[in-house]
Amino acid sequence: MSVLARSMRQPAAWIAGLLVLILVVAAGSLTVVPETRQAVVIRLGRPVGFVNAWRPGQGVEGSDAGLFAHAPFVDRVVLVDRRMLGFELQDQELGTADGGRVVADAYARYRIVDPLTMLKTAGAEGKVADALSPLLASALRAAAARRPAAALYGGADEGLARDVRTALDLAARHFGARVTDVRIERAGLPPGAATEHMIDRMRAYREQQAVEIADNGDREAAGIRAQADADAAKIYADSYGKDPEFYSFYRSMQSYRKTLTTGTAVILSPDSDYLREFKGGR
Amino acid sequence: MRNEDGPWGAGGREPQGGGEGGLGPRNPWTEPPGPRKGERRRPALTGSALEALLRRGRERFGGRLPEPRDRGFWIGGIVSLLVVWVLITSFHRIDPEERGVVMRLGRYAGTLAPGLHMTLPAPIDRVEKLPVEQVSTTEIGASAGDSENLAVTSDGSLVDLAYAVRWKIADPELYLFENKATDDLIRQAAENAMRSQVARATSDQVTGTDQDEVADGAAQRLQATLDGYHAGVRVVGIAIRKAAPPAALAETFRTVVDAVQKAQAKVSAAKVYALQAASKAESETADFDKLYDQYRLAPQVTRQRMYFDMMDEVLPRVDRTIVDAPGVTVPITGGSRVAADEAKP
Repeated sequence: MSVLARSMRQPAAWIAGLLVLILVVAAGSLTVVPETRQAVVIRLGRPVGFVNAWRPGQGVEGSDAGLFAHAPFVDRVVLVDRRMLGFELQDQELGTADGGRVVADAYARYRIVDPLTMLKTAGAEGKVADALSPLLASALRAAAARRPAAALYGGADEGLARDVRTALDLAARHFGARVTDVRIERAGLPPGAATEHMIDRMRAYREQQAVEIADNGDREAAGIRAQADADAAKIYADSYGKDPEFYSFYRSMQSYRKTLTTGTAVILSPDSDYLREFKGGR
Repeated sequence: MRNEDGPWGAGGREPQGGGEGGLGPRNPWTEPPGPRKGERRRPALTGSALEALLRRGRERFGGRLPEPRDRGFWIGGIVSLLVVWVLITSFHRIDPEERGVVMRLGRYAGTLAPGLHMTLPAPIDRVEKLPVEQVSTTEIGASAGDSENLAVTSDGSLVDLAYAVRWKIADPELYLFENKATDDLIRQAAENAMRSQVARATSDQVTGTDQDEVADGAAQRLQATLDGYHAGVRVVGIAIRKAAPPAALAETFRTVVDAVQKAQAKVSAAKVYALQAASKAESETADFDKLYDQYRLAPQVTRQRMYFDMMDEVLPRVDRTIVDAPGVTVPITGGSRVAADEAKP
């Protein structure tokens, strides 16, 4: 008697086999839909339902995530990210209205709100960003061409970002997505001639600034000195001017003290004032 | 001696039965007969239920060591593994700076506060631990090498920027469920915020005087943007690591700094000169004024006093000559040189 025939006669084997069958069917009809995903149920090529579809303003409490039961094997459950996704564009060269060229990085935030349309048009979740990237690039170019270069620098122009977002959002609906935000990360001069030119301009400005600073310093210093001299002269004049003749006498005494030293010959006449008393009275 | 019965005993027989050659149940408390073939020792297994199971297995197989092919051993092993698995994956320790987000079969089932918690075992419940109070840092801008991160200022200048964004997870549920790749998003939004702020400031403000204001403004901008995305992130602050003129202009900026220093030095020297001149004037005129007051009181006497004071000081130093009468010269001390000249023929 074969092993198989013997096993088939025993209820234990039947129970085990049934258990395995149940498990396989269960695995084929249960899907876990995480909080971060929404699901499209496709039965034999036709969509029949959605699970945990994203709704605006819905928090985690209202979600339908979790274990989801469906028909086994004939139903295909496709999981699609329901979070806000993003993609980046880098080093996009844009021409501006005044003939300038700007190199910009930009990013876009989007969400797949209609997973069925997304699957029909883009085919897969990852392809949406691929499809939107060139659209973002052309929207940027179109918006930049309407504005002067200065408006693009630093991502400071909200109008430009808004224009680009509106255009991109319109295009994204075709793929079952909504673009919620577009921002310019950086916008600068393309490397090369334009940057060199700007740097030369900055250098000239700074050098001129240095000359101005030096001139101002000289002028201020000279002014202080001149004022100091004038103030001192006034002090002298106020004081010595009280009696110019006496000042002359005073100053001469000081000078004689200083200049008449050894080696100088001084000739004294007997009529001099100094010797008047020496001669013996008047 | 292969046991031809199934795992539950021969058909019709009760599971508790069995023994060697149908002699009845073996006393489970005695030593089992020694190992026949197969020296493998059974692994030590804990749990009284487990022991009971093993005892039954031993009974069934007549005290032989269960071999890998015996189903009893397999059942016991699987059950014990399951128990261990349940124990390990049901208990979670959440550190004080963490929160644990529980997902039951994919669905959000609550957030665990710090402490020891029990949940359903994996794969039913999955706990993702997130650091909530810990500050993460995102560095932006080249901090090494010569690649520059140039931003444009309001006065048409370029600044080489390097800065760090400090942030922490404020809302673990939002952080996990609302955005994909939130860390990347922070970097992108930070560049936008910082450059917007720099574009509104002058080059001097960004490189020197108002750097803190620029950083704070950028941090506020960034927080507003991230809130708009429901990122669940709080920006703690932005620290500017470097805000310098482009490398090509470094020397020019040094020239400017030099010029400022030189100009300040000149002005300081002039001020010192002014002070000195003023104090010199003050002291000299004070001397004169004192003397003048005395002169006013007694003019003649003061003049004579001044004159003779001067002579007292000067005459001893000089070569004096007194002329007594026209043509006659009488030298006094110190005038030896003159006398000698006269004496020469």
